[in-house]
Amino acid sequence: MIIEMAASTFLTFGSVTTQGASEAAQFVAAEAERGRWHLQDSYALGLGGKGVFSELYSVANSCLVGNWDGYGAAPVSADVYALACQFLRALPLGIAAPSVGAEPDGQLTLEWYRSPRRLLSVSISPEGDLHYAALLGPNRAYGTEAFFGDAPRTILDLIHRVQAT
Amino acid sequence: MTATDPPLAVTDAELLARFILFNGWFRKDGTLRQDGFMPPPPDFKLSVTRHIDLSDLALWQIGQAVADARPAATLHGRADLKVVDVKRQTLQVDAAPLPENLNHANIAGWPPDKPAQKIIAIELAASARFVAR
Repeated sequence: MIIEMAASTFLTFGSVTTQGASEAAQFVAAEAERGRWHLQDSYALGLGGKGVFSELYSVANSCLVGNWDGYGAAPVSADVYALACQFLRALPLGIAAPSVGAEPDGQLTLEWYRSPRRLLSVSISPEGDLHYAALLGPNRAYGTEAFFGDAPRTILDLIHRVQAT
Repeated sequence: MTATDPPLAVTDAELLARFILFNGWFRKDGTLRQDGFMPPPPDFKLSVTRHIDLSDLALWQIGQAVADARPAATLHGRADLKVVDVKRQTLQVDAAPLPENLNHANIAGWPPDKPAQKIIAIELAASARFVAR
């Protein structure tokens, strides 16, 4: 039953943090998170099978040295890469795969795309801020969410709206 | 200014080109990502080249020069953008001639916060056209 509860939670919300302060609560939370990471990396359920982590590595690697865009872009740092990995692992299992890009200020971007006027772009800053902007036909949504290990609800909702048929 | 220099005033009817040297700035379906339209800090000026008075060959030569300035860079293509679409986003286009590119210009007037810049960059990407090299 515990496993079933955990799996359904992972599918809906992504990572789960604990409010418990005891050693046991912390242990269970850490183990659950480790299991979720394995699932997210897996071929069948996670983004790993969709090649997202490989793409992230490839993009970050090609932007390690400044001026990678020919216009003086800042390099992508190891911190930004690590945060992007954490954010991807915090997403619910089975979620649509984003594509990876980079911006001139050295931030990595994750994009969920249906068409040029129906998409969501999330930038990952070295400070752990998630700057997002979505165009959904005539509607716009944009803002910033702090990333503390859980995928923010606002961003999950926008991913679902981009993907909705 | 000589007779061959482009006029300093940029008109709404003009086309602008942003050269694409990073393969993550366009999609497999030939559309453009917002990433390539984000203004770089600290001055938030997006570098472009005006089409005015340039042949297609001359335009590509400028793009190639941008690529040649960086080791092992590939010029993948360019994003063509109408000035009127830039101004629709309440941005401005300022002529900023360089010795090596008299048609150089900057897209300026960006809001300071990043999410607001991103939504504008998405709009610009949606209205731009990718031209492969």
